[in-house]
Amino acid sequence: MTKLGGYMGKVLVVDVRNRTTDLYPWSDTERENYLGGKIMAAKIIRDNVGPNVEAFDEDNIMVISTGPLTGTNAPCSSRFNISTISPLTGFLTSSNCGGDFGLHLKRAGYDALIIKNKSESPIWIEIEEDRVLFHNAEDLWGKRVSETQKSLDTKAGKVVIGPAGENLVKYASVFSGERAAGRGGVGAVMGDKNIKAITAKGSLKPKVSDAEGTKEFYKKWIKRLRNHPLTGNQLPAFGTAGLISLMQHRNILATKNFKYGNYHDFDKVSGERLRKDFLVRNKGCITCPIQCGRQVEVDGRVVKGPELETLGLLGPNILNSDLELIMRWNLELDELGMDTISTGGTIAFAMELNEKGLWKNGLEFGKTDNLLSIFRDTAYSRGIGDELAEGTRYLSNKYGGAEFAMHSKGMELSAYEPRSAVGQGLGYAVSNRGGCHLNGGYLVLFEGLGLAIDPYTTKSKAELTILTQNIMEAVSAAGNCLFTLYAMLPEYLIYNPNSRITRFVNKFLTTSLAGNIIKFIDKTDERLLPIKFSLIPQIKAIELVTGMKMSIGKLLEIGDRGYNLERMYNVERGVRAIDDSLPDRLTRVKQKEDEPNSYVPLDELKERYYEVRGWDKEGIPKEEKLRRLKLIE
Amino acid sequence: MAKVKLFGIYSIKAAKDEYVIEADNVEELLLKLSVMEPNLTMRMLRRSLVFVNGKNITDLNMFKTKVGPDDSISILSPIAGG
Repeated sequence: MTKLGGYMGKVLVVDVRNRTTDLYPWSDTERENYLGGKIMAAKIIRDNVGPNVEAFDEDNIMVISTGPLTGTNAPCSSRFNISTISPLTGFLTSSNCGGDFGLHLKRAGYDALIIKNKSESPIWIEIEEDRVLFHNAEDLWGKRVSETQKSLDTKAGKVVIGPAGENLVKYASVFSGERAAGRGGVGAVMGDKNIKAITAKGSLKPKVSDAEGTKEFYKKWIKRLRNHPLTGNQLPAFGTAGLISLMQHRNILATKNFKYGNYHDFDKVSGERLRKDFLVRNKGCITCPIQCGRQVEVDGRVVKGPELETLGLLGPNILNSDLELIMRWNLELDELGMDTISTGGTIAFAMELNEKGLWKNGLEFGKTDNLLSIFRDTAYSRGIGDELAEGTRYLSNKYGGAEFAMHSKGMELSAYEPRSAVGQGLGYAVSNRGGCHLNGGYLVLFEGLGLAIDPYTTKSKAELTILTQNIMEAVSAAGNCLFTLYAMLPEYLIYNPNSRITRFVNKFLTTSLAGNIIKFIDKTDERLLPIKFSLIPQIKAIELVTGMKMSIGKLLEIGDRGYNLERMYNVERGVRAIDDSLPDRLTRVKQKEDEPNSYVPLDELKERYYEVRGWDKEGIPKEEKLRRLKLIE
Repeated sequence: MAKVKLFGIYSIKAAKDEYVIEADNVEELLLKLSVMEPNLTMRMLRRSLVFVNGKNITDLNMFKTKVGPDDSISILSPIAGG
């Protein structure tokens, strides 16, 4: 139980081999130190899963966790996180998802689920408060995602896998409604444990420490999100697809397996075109005022439209400009339960392998007529799909082409081409879960999307990356959507990109002074930074909901703790500096002939990053750092 | 005459998203566009991201950046997302 608001106070352990349940001991001290979500999950996994346990070993566990804001009507807070050992990277992965399962899990009375062992036969698990039932899922096994969802209790929150998860595709996803915990192969781990679905429902609600204060604060927060140019205007109008056009102009739109940063037919797959020709309506997760999701019609069905990453990686990155085809593929990949990012990245790599004669597989850039069947073959591990299902790193190890194998730690990169956003390149490389833009700190937000700091300089990029990683880590652990953080950028800067003030801010952020200020903040004891910092509303929200004192200093410390906790666990699993890598195409080949700095100077960036993080030259957190973060006694 | 293309929120505020405008510099081009498209005020356009042949005017001569007859002008707004 807990004295803190926002939490249900219970973590359910479900042993699917023995079909038993238990409660996991999780104290208020741990809640204060690890908050929830991915940080809580990392702590549980580090304490329970030995460093030699592999993704498909029986001893691997899955932790599905929420944050203290989940279920409290906070904007964009119905989310949940799944952490486990990734079959794609071999390291700890965390995959965050919208939908409504997080909300229902709280209503069932739990902050988190720990799934352990493997079931001997396919099952689905029904959780309704204290009642946990294990059902035979033989009749569901083989079904696609939406068909599975329709077969289950319509009133419950559900997480399900599709055929890709059953067949252990290394980048299989887990779905809640139409939203995916897409990355890292969490769906394959669920499939390996023979779990087709988990449902949760109940009538419980977390108590909130200051109910009136929270209600009033949420009203102001929602109003702010609705009034901000990014969360109240651009995202509702175009969804994430709206980024394509600006990415094109900033030369960060991954094209032809990241050989280029722009694509001549970008406007055929842009957010503007999606809105003009295909948008049926907006849709968002429950509790979300932003509503960035797109609904489009495919073969007579109104379904989720493609997000930016899907458009980029199954569009320009494979030289495809057929938006209708991407919409159809997006639906098919969702139904199969497969990550569209890793699918697009792997296909593009396979195309280049074929082009260079390294693997004759029939895949060609711009040739799209065979891809739908290739995706199905991948989900069912048939033909060349059997190898595509293993991901880019596997193909690179087998066929060569490491210099253009677009992954980091085995995870395929997102759609941002980092040679014109070198801070994002650093983020991809050091990200705990592999080539992920968000876990990497999403510095591209500053390097050309929201702001326009110098995309090629290395100055202060390491410091900014650490700052944003720590903030995002803590906000995610609180149960909040990272998109709410875009409102952190002052409206003035977004509304006035050409003003002297904005241009000054853009210049200042890449000065040594700015870097040193950020470094100072990072090293300062949280007690010396007691301010609430209103640009990050989560700080006050966490305090109002939980009753624990929260400040920018404490939030950053929690984020820093989470990031270092994941890092330490990965270090125990063998991660070293050499694994914080990018392919040579991004670090040694200039993107633009007329821009001498259009490559990612990764060694220089990493050196500074390690120093500011308090890591040694091998990328291992130093004892002093771990002690300060209370990760060792 | 320069080719002008509108993106993002500018593309939905205007009647169409492509124009051909003759102007000496970006300031004049935006002014003419605001006259052609009353929904796009000069104040609004001065707050846009303007690219001339793929280069942001913040890296050129701001609103005094010269515009030639064969130039391509893009008008966008800042955005963020996953």
